[in-house]
Amino acid sequence: MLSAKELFNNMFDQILSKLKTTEQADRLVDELINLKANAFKPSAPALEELVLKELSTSYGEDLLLIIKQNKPVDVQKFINEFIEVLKNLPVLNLTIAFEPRSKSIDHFHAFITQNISKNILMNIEIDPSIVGGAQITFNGKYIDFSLKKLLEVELNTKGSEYFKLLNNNG
Amino acid sequence: MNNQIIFYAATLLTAVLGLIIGGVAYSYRKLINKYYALKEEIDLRDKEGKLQASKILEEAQARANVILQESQSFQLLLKQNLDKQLTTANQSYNNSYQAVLTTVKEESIKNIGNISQEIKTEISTEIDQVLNSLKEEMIKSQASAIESLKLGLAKSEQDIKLYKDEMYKKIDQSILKIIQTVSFQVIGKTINLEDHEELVIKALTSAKRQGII
Repeated sequence: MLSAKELFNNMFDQILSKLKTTEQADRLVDELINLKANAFKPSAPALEELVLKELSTSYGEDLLLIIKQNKPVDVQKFINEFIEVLKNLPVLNLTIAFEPRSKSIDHFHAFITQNISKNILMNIEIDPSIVGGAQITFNGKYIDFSLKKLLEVELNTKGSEYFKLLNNNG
Repeated sequence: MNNQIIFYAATLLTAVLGLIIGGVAYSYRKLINKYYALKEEIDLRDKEGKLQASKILEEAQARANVILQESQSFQLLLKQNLDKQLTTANQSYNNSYQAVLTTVKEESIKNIGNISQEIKTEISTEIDQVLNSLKEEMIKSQASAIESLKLGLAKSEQDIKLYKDEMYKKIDQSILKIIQTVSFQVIGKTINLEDHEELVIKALTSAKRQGII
């Protein structure tokens, strides 16, 4: 039996499944806040028109569909609750050494959705000094799987051997 | 009658009184005469006494002068005697003193001579002893100094070796650091996008395996 929160979240699965990064979620929250500000003014245009105007295309259409399907009594409250859902989505912090393309982001998100859970947002930070791999923080736990760490460990433990090799070859 | 009695009584009384007064006056006169007589006697005696006293005084004075003269001459004599005695005693004392002084001088010279000889001997003995002990101390100090130098040298060599080892270690660490930095830069540039993605996926996989995510 799913909780009310889970049921509510499931309503927005269509939209949530499209959100991959915290950046995207933050942008959607801003759009929803603007929608809220403009939708309930006395001389406001129709909600449908406003939703499509304020939100990016795919999100706007999905939101309209959700509103039509669920017919909330209080649309404003509905939108507020959606904003809260977006703000409280779990976040996985990922520090990587390169600027990811959208394909890379899709790839990472697919892995996370398949192997961990759906509706987890990635907070991607770029730090070239880690050389490669990733530093991961999730639910208060941290682990360093960067190439920099691996190389440092390797050099510290076997550095003298490499040095001897260099000397012998040099 | 009464008046007559009274009259006669009064007259009697007056007569008696007169007699009494007469008697008193007569006694008084007598007394005065006696007084004057006595006074004369006293004056006379007084004069006599004074005369005698002055006589005695004169005699005493004369005798005192005699005595004084005698005493002055005695004093002079005494003084002369005393001077003479003093001179004699002084002379005698001086002579004795000189004699003693001379003796003492001679003795002192003799003793000083002995003392200086003794001192000389003592000093030279002491000097010899000091010289010998100084020699011994010098030899000991030399040996100790040589030992200290040797120890110091050994310690310095040890310190130099430690310092060298530490410096070599630092150099090795610096070189390793350089190798590390260069390796990072080279590896960073040689990894392509696909390799990066693969590395991230591997990191996520390892994190899942370790229960981080």
